[in-house]
Amino acid sequence: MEDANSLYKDILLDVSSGNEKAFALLYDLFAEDLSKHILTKVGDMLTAEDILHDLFLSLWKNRKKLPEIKSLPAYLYSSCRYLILSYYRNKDKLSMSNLDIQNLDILNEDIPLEERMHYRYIIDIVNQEIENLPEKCREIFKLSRVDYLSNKEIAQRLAISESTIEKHINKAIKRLRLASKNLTIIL
Amino acid sequence: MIQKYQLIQLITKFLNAKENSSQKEEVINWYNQHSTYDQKLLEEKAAVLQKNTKTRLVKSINSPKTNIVKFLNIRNAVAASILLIGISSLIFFLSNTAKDKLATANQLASVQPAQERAIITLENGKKIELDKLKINETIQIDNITISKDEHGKVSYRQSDSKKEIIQLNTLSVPKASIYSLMLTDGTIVTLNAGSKLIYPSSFGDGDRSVFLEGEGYFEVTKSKNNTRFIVKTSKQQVTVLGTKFNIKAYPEETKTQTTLAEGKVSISNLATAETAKILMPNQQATNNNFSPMSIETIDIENAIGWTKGQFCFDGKNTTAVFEEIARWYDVDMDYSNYQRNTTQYKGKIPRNLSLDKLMKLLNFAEIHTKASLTNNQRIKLQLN
Repeated sequence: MEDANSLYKDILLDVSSGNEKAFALLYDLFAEDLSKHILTKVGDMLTAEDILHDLFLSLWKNRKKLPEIKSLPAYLYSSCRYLILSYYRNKDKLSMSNLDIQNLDILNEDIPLEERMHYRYIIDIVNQEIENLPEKCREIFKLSRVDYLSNKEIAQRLAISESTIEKHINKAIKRLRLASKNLTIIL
Repeated sequence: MIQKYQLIQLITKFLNAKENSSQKEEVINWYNQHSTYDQKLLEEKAAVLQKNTKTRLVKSINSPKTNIVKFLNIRNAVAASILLIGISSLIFFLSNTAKDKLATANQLASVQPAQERAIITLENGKKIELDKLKINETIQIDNITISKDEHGKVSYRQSDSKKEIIQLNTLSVPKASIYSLMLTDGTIVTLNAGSKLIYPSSFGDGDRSVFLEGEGYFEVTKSKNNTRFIVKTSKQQVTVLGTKFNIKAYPEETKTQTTLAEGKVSISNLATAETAKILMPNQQATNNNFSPMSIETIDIENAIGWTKGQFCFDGKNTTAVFEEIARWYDVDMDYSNYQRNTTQYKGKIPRNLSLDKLMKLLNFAEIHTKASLTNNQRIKLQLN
């Protein structure tokens, strides 16, 4: 089922300009389903409240970026999942030994939560678009941007000319830029 | 089962957006499968959660702009509310028709959008409820096999071509329902709320004919011997070879509209008996009893938006869309206060919402709607 993105777009536009009534409408439209989802993952009511609260507060803090969002339900779900995973990490960290905690990767909390959540959403969209690239194009793009091979190395590995490699990479960038048109990304 | 330490490590990578694709898959899989043990009273808890959080949010946002009308201080507020109660009781006492009560938010929230429901009635009167069929279940009636695949799609097959007893069956989709069915030739027909399709249990070698009342979207397959597919409605007949089109022919409406998505169709008006007209993709033919058929090019999305889960307002069809809303939710409409403005709403609204959420969206789009409960407990929407 397609999302009714044109009407959600209008609401998001209003929210982005600071309209609290529109924000309240957004809350009324989605909070019920999100509440149910949170409660199936998080047992404790107070924590669930924190998560739902932080979710929408982050939305409000990040409201200038809202009109860029193509699928509002997907964005809300992705952000909700981020918060639940974050809560789960904090909860279980408490029951870990000191040694284990020291060996854990550091969560970069200098970056504000709402920016990390937004970035997560963007990266998921870009990754999806990468998977939608034509096969050869995708393979070459990944070798370049994921495995950090130089164009020369890719050309050698795949036995194709360097200029063809360049063409594929440019094609990929063009398509990815198009797909993530309004989102702030530097590729 | 994944070890706790490993899991937290994976989650940390995910939260930093530094995971690789297989790590992401592990995290997502774990997340999807994970659930709390206590799932009792989920609905009630969710309602409380939603309400409490809203109060907290309001405080957190703490904007200087408020919606409170500033001239109402406490004294006036009390006086004003007493006055309101007084006036409405007065109206109640003085009117001689029973006043419709305003529908409450809870009543509206419980009105769900259309469900997938349909009934096939055989020639002998026996009824089969298609939504009661389980996934991958197959039932056999005479020489017909009806089966529901793993995606919930229902198809119709002739099981034994030796015994060719062709019956006329009826597929009925009640109000607040929608259904898709695959016929014996592979044609897929999707029926909108309040519609009926009468079709033969098998098509044989000649023309494939069906009769439609209401609204249906057809994806017709080309048959091996290029036989035509014909859809008859009370006012017209649409002939196709293989194509995708939508016919809207509700008995309670005066016009019949045929919209073509792909392919080519030929339409004849049964009342005027004028020569058949050919429709090209993105064109819509309107048949209006005894006036000649009119054809115009339109935005196809508006005509078939219903098959994609949307109500499509195109700036001119507000009443028509509300008729759809009425059928989709099985509510009644009241247009007595409606003044057709020059600027009507243009946009798409999802169909999968409960009625209270739909009304919030409509009112946000400046389509002012009110809901009340009539004497016989039906919900009536008033468009202003």
